[in-house]
Amino acid sequence: MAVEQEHFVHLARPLAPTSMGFASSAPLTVNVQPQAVFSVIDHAVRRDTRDTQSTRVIGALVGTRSEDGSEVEVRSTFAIPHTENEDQVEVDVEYQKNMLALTLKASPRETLLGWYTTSHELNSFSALIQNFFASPETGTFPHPAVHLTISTEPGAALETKTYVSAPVAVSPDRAAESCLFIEVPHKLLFTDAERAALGTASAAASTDTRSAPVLSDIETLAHSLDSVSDLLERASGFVGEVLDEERDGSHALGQYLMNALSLAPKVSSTQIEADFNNHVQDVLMVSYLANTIRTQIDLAQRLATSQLVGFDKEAGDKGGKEGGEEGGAGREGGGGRGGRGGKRGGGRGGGGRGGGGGQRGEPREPRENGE
Amino acid sequence: MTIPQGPVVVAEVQAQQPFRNLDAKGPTFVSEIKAPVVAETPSLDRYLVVSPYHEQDHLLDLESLDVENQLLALSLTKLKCLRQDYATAPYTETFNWGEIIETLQTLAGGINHTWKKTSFFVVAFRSRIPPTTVYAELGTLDKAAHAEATASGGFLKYWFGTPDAEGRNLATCIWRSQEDARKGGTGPAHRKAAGAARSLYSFWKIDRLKLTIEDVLRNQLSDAMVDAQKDVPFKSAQVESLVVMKIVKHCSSSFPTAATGSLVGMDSNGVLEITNAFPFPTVDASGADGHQSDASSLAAAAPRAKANIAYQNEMIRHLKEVNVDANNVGWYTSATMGNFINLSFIENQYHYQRDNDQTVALVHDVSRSSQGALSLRAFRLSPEFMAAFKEGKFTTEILQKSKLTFRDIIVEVPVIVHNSHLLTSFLHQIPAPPASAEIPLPTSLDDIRRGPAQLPAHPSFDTLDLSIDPFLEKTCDLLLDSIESHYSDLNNHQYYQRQLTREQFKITQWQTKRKAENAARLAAKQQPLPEDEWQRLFKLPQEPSRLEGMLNARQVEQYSKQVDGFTATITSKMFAVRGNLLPE
Repeated sequence: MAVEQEHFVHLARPLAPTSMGFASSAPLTVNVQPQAVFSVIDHAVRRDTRDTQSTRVIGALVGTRSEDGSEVEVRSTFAIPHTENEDQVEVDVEYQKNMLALTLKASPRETLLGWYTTSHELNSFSALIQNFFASPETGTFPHPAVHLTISTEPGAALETKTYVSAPVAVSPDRAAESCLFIEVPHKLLFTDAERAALGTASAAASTDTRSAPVLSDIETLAHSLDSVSDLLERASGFVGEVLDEERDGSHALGQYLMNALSLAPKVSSTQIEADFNNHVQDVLMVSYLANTIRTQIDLAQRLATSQLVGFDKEAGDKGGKEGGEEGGAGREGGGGRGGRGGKRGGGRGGGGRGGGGGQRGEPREPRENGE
Repeated sequence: MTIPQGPVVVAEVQAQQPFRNLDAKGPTFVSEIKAPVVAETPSLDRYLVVSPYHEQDHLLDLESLDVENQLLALSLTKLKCLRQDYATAPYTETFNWGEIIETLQTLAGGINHTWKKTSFFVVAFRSRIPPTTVYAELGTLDKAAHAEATASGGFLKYWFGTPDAEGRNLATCIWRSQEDARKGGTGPAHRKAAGAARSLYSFWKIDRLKLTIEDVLRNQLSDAMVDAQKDVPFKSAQVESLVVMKIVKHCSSSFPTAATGSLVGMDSNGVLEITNAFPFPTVDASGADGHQSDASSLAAAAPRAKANIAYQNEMIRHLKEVNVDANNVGWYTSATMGNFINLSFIENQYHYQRDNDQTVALVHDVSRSSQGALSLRAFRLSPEFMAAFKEGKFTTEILQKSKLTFRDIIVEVPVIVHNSHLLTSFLHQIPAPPASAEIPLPTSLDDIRRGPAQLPAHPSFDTLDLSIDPFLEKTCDLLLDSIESHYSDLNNHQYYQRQLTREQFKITQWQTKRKAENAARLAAKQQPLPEDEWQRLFKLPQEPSRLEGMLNARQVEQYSKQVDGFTATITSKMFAVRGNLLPE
């Protein structure tokens, strides 16, 4: 799933250094993964306000680049300490080098892509840092360095922008501190795996405490069903209003709803009933067997470590404790076999012979039927 | 939190003798400390010895301090350790706080100073050095760091003990404020010493405390890190969304190989806050000509690998520079359908929890999360199990005595996901909500298709998916595996039982034989042979550890609960489907 931040007309690729034969004219697209944005935001929150006058923080972007260099994916970021005041900016280059090495050690397929900062302002310091990140020795050359800005103004929406740069200068000695930033399109990209995590994070975002517990499957299901029924309610409310001529209908929406409704399969009720029963029974059977196995193994564990008396005679007159132990293990054998028996039965679809577990499970039957 | 340790004593003193009348009958040291406080001080008295080091670099310049701090610094020259076991004793009981406060009262009374409520910052550094560490080397580092701290100002007292038999030690510093302490700790020498600490100490822990001396001169040691002091286990783990996202990304990108990483954060008020995470380097298994299982077993053992511990320390040091909480609070791992309870998991968590009790293992279940609901769980080992695992013996006899069952191995801690304010505002923007409540109606079907509605991430509709069979199937497979391992465990024990019976039978035989022999010898009036020689002649087999079996049992319990969960959701969905297709 991708969230387009805005519509973008991309006219031409900016004049990036293209000496190495990477002169493709394909426009550069930046995909940003959510955890990268999350780290930037975290860094913005943790910024050091003691001995710097700057209100922004900077850090490096790390990720992957497509073969032709036309698409980059920002996967992670790391913060870089820097100080900034009116006339100079200091970036901890040593720190950047070490941290990059450490980050790449954990994810060797990723490379340095560029840098981020937490304000939309582009000034001559930005150019300086941009040139540092784009330089052949320390940066991304021959690929252009990507510059991501996230506005963290209080009271305003968070906006993200991405830029690449081209060298530009009025005179050679000013070249280091000037460059032409050209905005390029970017999108926030979610993979399916991240959806679930983002869902939980959003759940936390909509509470007062900004925190939410991780819910179990069934609770999540309940929430989803609630919201589905809400949406259905709204749709049917809309249709109702149109029918009552309270508001104007829309042909497109009507058509869309008709299409959706016609997707309902036409199947005979007996067929559904049969399928339903089969499926539910299968599921319940697996659940039943799993619980049987659990009981069996629980039992085996208990017997293995319980004090059993009455086996002393067999074990000889020495070491009553050892005798008890032996008895325990003997019983454990029985329990284990029973468990396996139960499983094998399940494999055949019958599940009739679960050893002792069969009887154990019996009280469950009425409850399951009652559902 | 306030520890009412010192104040009680002090308050009584207070009640009996009014504070201002103290000076006349004050102990002899009044005169000795009166001089520095008075403004025109002889230059020699300007500097106070505050630590076991006596060089000029290590002396405290009293003129750099205000009166409250001067007084306390002077009183602290009386600081004495009261207990032999200072390395492990509670901080407030370790030193003669009562006496120090008395001294302080006397001093303040001596110059007719009205005490203003002042707080001081106390750092207690508890450490343990392995026998291999050269103590002198630490001393040099320590001295340099001390000189630096003195130079930065506000460093009122430094005290350290000598390591006890086990190499445990306590060192403590008292600062004017936390601000000073932070400044004093930013210099190169301190950093060098802190860096050395990682390699030279086998264990260390820093407690930060606040010493508040109120106007009535009631001292309170209030504890800035409440639970670090008392070893109260945290009740829940609060995970930042950032950490969740990082873990999910790492685990899903390395799936199906297990992914592991380290967590940093801090614990406060019974909540373990996990504020950042970073992955461990992937182990390069291609060089070693092994099969597939090698890679995953290496990955599973990653948190305790030597190289990774170094990596973790290095990373945490770097993170500290950008204001990330620099305490390790555990590790994370990925799992498939809850199959994480194994010896490797236990060993990893033991490795972390042994050094620091406030650590947790986060388990992210990649397969279950792909089904819609995030599956992130936090576990720690129970104290009973920690003790048992330390012993390393899991024989039947010990288990009977300790009553340890497989249910007591790990404790689950509830996980709470937390966002920062800034992140909350960001999350409300994705997907961007419509600009107004009334959006223009689409003009054609294509309009709808082209711009499908952006669904919010929560609540997610992925959970409504009906296909559950792959998950059930996988769980059944895993259950079968568990049964296999249960069976092999059982075989081991049966084998052991047979061995034991055989040996015992032999012993009994030998004993009857010896008895008969002795009876014969006795009849022949000869000295009887010793009857307990069998202990040397026969060796009873070693009982196999019960740990594997216990873990397996816990794993099976986990699977069956998981199946129960699946059953609950799928039956509700099935009934919903039937209700929809077959209207009553």
